Amino acid sequence: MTSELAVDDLVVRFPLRSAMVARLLGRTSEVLTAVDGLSFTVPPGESVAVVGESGCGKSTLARCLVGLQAPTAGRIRLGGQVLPRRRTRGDRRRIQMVFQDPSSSLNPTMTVATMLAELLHVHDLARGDQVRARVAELLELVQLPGRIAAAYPRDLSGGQRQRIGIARALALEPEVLVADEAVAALDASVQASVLNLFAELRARLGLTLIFISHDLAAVRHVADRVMVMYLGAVVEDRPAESLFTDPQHPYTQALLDAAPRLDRRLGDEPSLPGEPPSPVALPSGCRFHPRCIHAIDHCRETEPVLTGPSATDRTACHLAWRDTHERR
Amino acid sequence: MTSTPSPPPPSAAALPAAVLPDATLPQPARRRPHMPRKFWIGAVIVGGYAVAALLAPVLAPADPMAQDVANRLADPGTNHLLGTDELGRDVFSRLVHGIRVDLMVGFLGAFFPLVVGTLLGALAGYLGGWADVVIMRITDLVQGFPVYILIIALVFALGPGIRTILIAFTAIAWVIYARIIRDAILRVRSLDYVQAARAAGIPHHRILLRHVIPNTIHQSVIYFTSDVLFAILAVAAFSFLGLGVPPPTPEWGSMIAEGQPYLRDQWWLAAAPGVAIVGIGLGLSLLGDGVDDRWRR
Repeated sequence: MTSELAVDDLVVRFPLRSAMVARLLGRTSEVLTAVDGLSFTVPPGESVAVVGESGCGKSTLARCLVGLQAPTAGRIRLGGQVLPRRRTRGDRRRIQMVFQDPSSSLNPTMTVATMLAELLHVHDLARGDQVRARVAELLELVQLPGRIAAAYPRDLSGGQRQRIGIARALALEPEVLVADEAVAALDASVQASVLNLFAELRARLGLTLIFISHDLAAVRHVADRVMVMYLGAVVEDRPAESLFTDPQHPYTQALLDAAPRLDRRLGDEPSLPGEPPSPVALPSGCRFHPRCIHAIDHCRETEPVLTGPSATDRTACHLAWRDTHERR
Repeated sequence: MTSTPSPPPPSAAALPAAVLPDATLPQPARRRPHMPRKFWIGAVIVGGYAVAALLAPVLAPADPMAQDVANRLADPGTNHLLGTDELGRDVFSRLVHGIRVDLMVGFLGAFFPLVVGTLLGALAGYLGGWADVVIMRITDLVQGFPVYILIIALVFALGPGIRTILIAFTAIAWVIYARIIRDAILRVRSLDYVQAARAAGIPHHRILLRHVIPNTIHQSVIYFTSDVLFAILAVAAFSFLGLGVPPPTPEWGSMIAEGQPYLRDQWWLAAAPGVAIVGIGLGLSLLGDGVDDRWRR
């Protein structure tokens, strides 16, 4: 029932100034490149984490996947079928999203039951008495007691709201579930239980899971595979185990170093200086070279290709797959 | 509903954290909180006025237009509850009939702008682009004018009367509603729950009706209650100036104007309609405040 998700050469650009205004002012219109030529495929049932700093385009990717953002170029396929720019209700149903902030992602004027029932009604997934049964089933699926059905979002805690957000996405029986920073707004203890819920749902429902996060550590236990994004492009895309134990891209290494650890000594500076450059003026050559501690002249001139031993084990770095010591 | 929060047993053992409910569960879900007391006090006051307006012919002891010059400026007493005015008309009867005129002009004078403004504001907010630019520039234009000057100009152009007053109010007061609704729609449209509804394939009209408008309309409704009061005060003010409801019709503003020369000896001629205006104002304010409190929760 689940199909392969494929993204081909996805590009999303936002004009910062309308072309007409730019002409009136006699300036060229500036364009922000949020997603710059992403290509990847996700086999059915796989769990992929997309990781990167804020502004790297990971949320834009999520919005493209669920059809809230029309791509500038490129396409998204699900099970071989290209999803059109204007998706039908049926298309939308196949890819659903869990939002970051559970306090703003639930309509405050609707009860949990009304909210879920509306979706079942609009998609004609249940009728009459079935609606109630299905709502109870969905609540059970996200491990909430049935009486929560009558509650308004303001009656619920953050973790409960996020579980409702998950139930809402699951109500449409999607093939792909996109979680955009779905645990970032939660307390640490609640984060763990919601992450566990994702892992369990995936096993139980055979969902393809796209888990978007800024926190490498958080995705470690949910992801089969990790894609690291930097300035709109994937710089490393590898099985989670190898990425965590043997990161190839200097940016991934820096992200792993940046995670707080108890054994870090004072004076160990994180190896990631500065902020990402502006996505309005992308650097020449490798997009990471201005912040890279290993950068050589070649990096400033030529953009590295995302490549590696296999289609799911790729790195975009001229220096990757060389002896780690040589670089350090 | 049977509530058995049975967590799936086998896998749950491996995932102990998942079995723990996040924080404490809420009390058995409660219904929406009740309206605050001030809402009900306001509702009773406004309701009282409305009932009095409906029952005016029954409540009023005399014909509000009937003159009895021999009996002019009579003191309040058994024959005339609030005395008679300069033409010998029963003040209480005029006061009660005046509710009809003032309440109607007040409500219609706020209702028409609400409808026009909500419609144009929703168009501007939802369509965006040139529709937004044109509609919003018109609101700037209208708001740039001093309100009363504009109404006076319209009254002179169209001649005094209830119809003119309603047209004038609608032409001016819609801009506030347009702004309120437009801003609310812009704000709500980008909120996650509207995005989620879009991502879930819920049709546009349903998103507007069930997700956007229920979360935006309350600001207009709250504003409406204070706008009714503004309209009543404005009608009274214009009638006081002789620009509003033409004379024989009983209306509070013109009653105050007529009573003004006798303020020293027959103060109740002006005071009674004044108190009536204060009363409806209080009722409407409490009503609006109550709705506001209720929605803020």
